Order: sequence, then C-alpha cells, then structure tokens
Amino acid sequence: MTNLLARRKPLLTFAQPPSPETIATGPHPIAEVRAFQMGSPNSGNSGAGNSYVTLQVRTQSGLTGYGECNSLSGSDLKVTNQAVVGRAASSYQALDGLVPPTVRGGLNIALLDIVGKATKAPIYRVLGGPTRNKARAITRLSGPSDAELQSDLQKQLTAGFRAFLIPIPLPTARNQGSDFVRVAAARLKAMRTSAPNADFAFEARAQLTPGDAASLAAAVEGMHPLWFDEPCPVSNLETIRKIADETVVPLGFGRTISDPGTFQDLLREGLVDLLRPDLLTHGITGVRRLSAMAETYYVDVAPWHEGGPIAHAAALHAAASMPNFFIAQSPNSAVAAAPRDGFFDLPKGPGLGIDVDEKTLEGNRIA
Amino acid sequence: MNRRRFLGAAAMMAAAAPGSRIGAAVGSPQLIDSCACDPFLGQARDGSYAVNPNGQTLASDAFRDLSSGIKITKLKVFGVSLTPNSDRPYVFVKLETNQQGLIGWGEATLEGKGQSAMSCVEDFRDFLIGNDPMQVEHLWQSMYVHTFYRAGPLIGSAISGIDQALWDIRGKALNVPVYQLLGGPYDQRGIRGYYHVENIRTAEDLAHLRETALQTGVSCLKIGLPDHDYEWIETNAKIDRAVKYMQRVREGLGDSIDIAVDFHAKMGPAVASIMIKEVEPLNLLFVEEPCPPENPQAMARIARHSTTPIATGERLVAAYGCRALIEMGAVDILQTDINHVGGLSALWKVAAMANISNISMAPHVCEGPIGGLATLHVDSAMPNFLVQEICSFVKPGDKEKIWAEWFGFPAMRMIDGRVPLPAEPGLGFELSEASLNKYPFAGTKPMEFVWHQDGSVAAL
Repeated sequence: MTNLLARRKPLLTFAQPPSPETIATGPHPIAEVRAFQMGSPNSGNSGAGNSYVTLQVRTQSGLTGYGECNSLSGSDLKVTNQAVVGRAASSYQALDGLVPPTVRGGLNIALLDIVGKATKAPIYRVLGGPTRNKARAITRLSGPSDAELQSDLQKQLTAGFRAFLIPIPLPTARNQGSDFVRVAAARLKAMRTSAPNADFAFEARAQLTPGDAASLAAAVEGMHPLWFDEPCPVSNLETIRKIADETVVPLGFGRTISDPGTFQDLLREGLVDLLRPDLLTHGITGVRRLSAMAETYYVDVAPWHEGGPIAHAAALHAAASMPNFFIAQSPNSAVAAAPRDGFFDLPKGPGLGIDVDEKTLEGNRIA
Repeated sequence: MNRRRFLGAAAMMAAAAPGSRIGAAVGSPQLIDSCACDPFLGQARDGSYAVNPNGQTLASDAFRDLSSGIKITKLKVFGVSLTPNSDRPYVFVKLETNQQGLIGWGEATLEGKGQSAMSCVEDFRDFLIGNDPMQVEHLWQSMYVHTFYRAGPLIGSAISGIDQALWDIRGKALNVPVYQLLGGPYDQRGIRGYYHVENIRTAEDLAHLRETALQTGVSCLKIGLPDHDYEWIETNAKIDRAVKYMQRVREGLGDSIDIAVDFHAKMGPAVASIMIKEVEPLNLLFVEEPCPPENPQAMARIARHSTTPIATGERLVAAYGCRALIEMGAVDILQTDINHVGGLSALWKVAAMANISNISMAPHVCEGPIGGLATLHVDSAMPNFLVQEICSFVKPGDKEKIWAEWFGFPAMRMIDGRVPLPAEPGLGFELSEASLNKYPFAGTKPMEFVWHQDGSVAAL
C-alpha cells in the first residue's frame, strides 16, 4: 500500500499553513486577550480538572467576549496576543491555527461571544440554530458510598435532573471478575429502583481494564444504561473493540482526546456510540466539526467539560447549534441554573447570553 | 360505507387525537390494520402535516420563545436559460420574509434536469412558508431527514438552493458577509481559482496558455484527456495517447503551473490505474474522477496504486456521501459542489470532516453564478482549502457579461489568480427578478450523449 504521506507530498507545497499576514483586519479587531486563573467550581469527587482559566477578549470597537480554557501559561497567553491582536474577531476559524493548542477552545468561545454581540444574536443563531428548544441535562452523582449516592440522587431529582452519571465502585485490584461486577451492577439496579423514571450512565473515568469493562457492560446491558462513559483509556483501539463487540451498551469516549483523528478512528472502527469531546479543548467550533463527522455515522455528541459558568453557557449554545447533540453535563449547581424536568433552558441574549462580573476575575490575572 | 368514505372519516377521527400522525392511534381499534401509507391517513387536518405529540406542525413551531421574529413568507423558483440549447438552465430560488426587503437567493441548478429541480424546490414550498429562516441547520435537517428517502442529486440540489437562500437571509439579517459567520477568511486577498482548458493541440497552444497564465497570475490549470471515450479495458494506442498528452502539457507549461487532469469518470479503475501510474513523475496537482462515483472501493484501489493525488466528489450528496471515501483514505482532494451537496451547510460539513483526515478541498461549481458566489464564503473559512474551480476563462465570454449585468460586478472573475471575496452582507450581491426576465426558461437539453466505437454507451 502506497504511503499516504508520499502521495500527499505534492499537495503540501500548496496547502500552506495559515499565515497571519493574509488573515483579515476586518471589523471588531482584537485589542487584547487577558486570562484569569479560577479556582474550582466543583466539589466532592470530581477528580482532576479542579481549576480553569477565564479568557477575556476585548476588541478595539469596545466589545468584550469571554471563554474558558482548562489551563493557560503566561507564555502561551503572550504568544496568543502576538498572533491575534489587530485581527478581526469574526475570523475565529482562521485564527485558530495561529495560537497555542491550550488557548484554542477558549479563544473560539470568546470570539463567537463577540460575533454574537456584534450581530446581536445568540451564538446558536450565528451558527444556524437553534436546532432544539432546550438541552437535555445530566449531572454526576457524588458520594463515596451507595447511601450517599442515593441521597444525592434524591436531591438532584428535586433540583430537576432526570439523568445521572453514576461513578462505578472501583475494583480493589485489576481484573476483579465476579465480585466487582456484582457490586457495580447492584449499584445501578438500586438507582433504578429508587428512581424508575430516571436514566443513568455509568462513569468509569478510564479506570477499568477492557476486560473488567466488558464484563460490567455485559452485566448491565439489560438495564439499559444511557451509555458507559470512558470505560477504559483510549489507546490500543483493539482493546476497546472487546467491549464494543461483546456488549451492546453504548460507549462514550472523548474527554481526554485532543486529536480529532482519534475520534475518526473510533467512529470508523465502530467503537464509539457517543462522542464526549472536551468543550474547552475543542471550542464550540471544534465540537461542531466533530459533530459533522459523527452525524455521518449516526452518532450523537455530548460535549464534556469541567469549567465554570462560561463553559456551561457555551455548552448550551453548542447543543443548540448541532443536529446530533444528546446531553449537556452540568459541572455543578453553583455554576448552572437548575434544569426544568430534565432539560436546561437555552440562553437568549446576544453572544453567550450571560453577564460576567469582572470583579470575580480580579486578583487572578495571568501575566 | 365504501372504503374511501370510511377512511376519510377515520382520518378525521385520528386528527382529533393529538400526536396520532398515522391513523392507527391508541383507542382506534377499527384502524389497527391500517398503514401509514394510506393517502387518507398520512396527512390529516387543515393541510398541515408533520404533527408531533406537542402539536408542532411547522419545523419552527416548537421555537416560539427563541424565534428571531423573521418568517419565510414566499418562495419563488426561476428557470433561467441563457440560451435555449443549454443542458443546465439555471434554477434560482428566492425566499422572501416578513421583514421589508429581507430576501435570500440560492441556486438549485442540476445539469440535464432543470424542470425536475424546479419542481423539487416547489415541493418544499409548504414546508418552508412560516418557518424561521435563521434556523438553517434545523430546516436543513428537516428537509433532508423528513424527505425519508434522504437525498440523491435531485433532492440534494433542491435543498442546496434553499440552503443558500437561507444563508443569504441570515447574513443580511445579521448584517455581515456569510464568511464572517463561518469564521473566515483565511486569506483576505480572495479565493485561489483555476481554469479548465480544452482544445490544446499544438506546442504553440501550450506556449500561449503558459504566457497567459503567468501574465494573469493564474497558478493552476485543468485539462481533459485527448480521446472522447474510454472503455473499462483500453488499447495500447489510447493509453499511450493519454499519457503522452499529459507529458506534453507538463513540458509545455513548466513546473511552476499546477496541472490537474479531469478523467471525468470516463474509464474504470483498471485503465485509470495504468494511466495514473505512468504520469506519477509529472507531479500533477490531482487527477479528477478516475472512475465513476458509486463505488468508493474502486476509487481506493486506484489511489493505492499511485502517488498521484486523487480528486473526486462533485456528484456526492451531503456529508454522508463522502464518508466512505474519507475514512478509506481513497481521496486526497474533495470536489464538493455547493449546488448539489446541500448548500453551504453541507459543504462546510464535508470540509470539516475531510480536514480531520487532512484531505483538501477543491470545490466544483460549474453551474450558475449564485452557487459560485456562495461557495467562495465557505472556501474562505476552510483550513483545508486548496483551490476553487472557475468555469470560465481569462477573457470574459457571453456568460460572464450576463453575470456582470445581473450583479453589477464581474462575478467569479479572478484578479491575479484569485476571486475577491464579496464584501456585502449575506452572500454579497443584489439580483433583480426583472434582470432574469430576459432569459426565460426554455427547457433542458440533455447532457452530452457519448458512444463507443461499436455504438454502446460510453461515459460522458
């Protein structure tokens, strides 16, 4: 088989990377990008991702847009400013390739916020939506034991959630077999019994071996969990095939995947049933580009993030601008308005449709 | 009661039960054996259709709280024949709204099938009227999915025309050129284009072509093959002639001009593979449609045989149509046509999916000027854009003069090898219905008929 790279060689001469010189200096030129280190909006067992960065983009025309990044160094921020200052905020796609990967998702959100404010339209309308009038909601139940998860379930049901991510009880050692499977399946069954009309997804945070994951999936597939989230790390795709082939529980992958090509591999090989791209890594546009691909495989997208209120608003705009969105995961109740009967309302104002109190950013500026 | 009467009455009963799109609703035991394809049951009530359990009849009905306030009020379809002998009379779509002066234009031209394309657009009229034109992704999905059979080239072209008009409206309503909604431009100097040149016979022709290209800043040209028809197995003489022709063109044009060769799906993978292998040293920009479009495996076979880049895709509809080619790595370049694929929405999706595989985009658009202008907006926002086909040549012909007369600017004309981006809101042009009246629809001539030496059917 001919090496693809060899075949593309003549192409590379012509497909130049974007050049800052050719990108427009149009309306609403960017004046400055600022970043602010934020503490954790999460509590409990959320694990990694307990901090995020709020990005603030000001234009020379006086507009301000906000985004969030997972993390951002002072040097990446400096490179970003050098690349984008003076460029049109509306060229959000073209600017993407000029800035460090750490800032891309957040910058995309902030620039779309500006495009929306400039056109006085919510971001989903800028992008041809809304494709739905509300966004299905899910939240993660927290607590170290079944009793605490049950109590959180009742609390979140009252808050308006109807779908829940349940942490799997971690096996005490690798390849636990029967005991592990029995305990985990019992947890899901107890949840079902307590809330027969609710739906549940199992969340493994990539902490299982493919063998354990397949055994657990087989044990619960008759209970129809919405999906099995990150059952194991995405590395050797053939190991994921074991879970995908042996069971019919839908598999969700994506929170740690930064290369869109990995999503393409998973889709091509039939190993994923729900894309869970990190919104702060890919931005609204990056998630929509993945959604365009997933659509041709009849696969839904449920963007994931562990950011704050700006990321949550961005997630709702992404939801309303994709045809194949499934569910929005609430980071926690402190940053998201409660859903009504299982669905979040969509924002209605221009851009992200939220007001950011600049006072909350003070003192945290990344230099 | 005869069957007709009985079912008519049953349809009314069904209509009384919200959510019962088909007659076999719970509580109507007498209808339990009826089927959704019964004409008296499928479409109940006051001429509306597509009822869901929430009482939603229009695609936009469930969005009252989120509505832009703009509504589509009128759809007009124009068949436009520049000459009565054309195989591609333009099919233009105009959508009007409840906002004074806010209208959108799109193009649904389908080569060889003008009347059908016009009718197919008309079939969407009842669906469109009353909906919010700003929800283009939502309306696109409804047009495509609720068509049930999904889309081939005819429905794809109709959706393309409507989609373009919806984007035009949205850009105008938001007061920005459409490329700004898409996050472009990558290059504010405009869109790099190439011309398709035919009838190059002599060394003088080639020298002249090279001079013209260099003087006008045109960096890429596309040629056809020397013979009119090719069979799925070919003779030494014809293969040799094709290879030598491509070699002569490279020698004549030099290395600084990119050369693409359009095989036009005239042959099959066996013959194409031989020719493409032989011209590897020419480092062509691409070979276009080395075999017909239905079979991605056949295309992949050709691609695996050679380092010559393969381009295809002008006949493929929706991102779905390109999925297999992309995931198999069977193409280097996709040539999606905005007038068939499903408009800007679908072209953007194909480009997004192709980019994930590092596949480039060289969109085809060989119909009228509206699709041409629309494609420029999407081109400008593609990270993987390569070059745009421009169906024209250096010296403007009659067609170009009419286009300039319609729009008041030389639409799709290159300056220094690039087509400038439209700067006005929407797709960036004004077009009066009156200016089209001079070119009334005169039917569609069939596309070219091509026969092999023995009288059997050859690909055109």
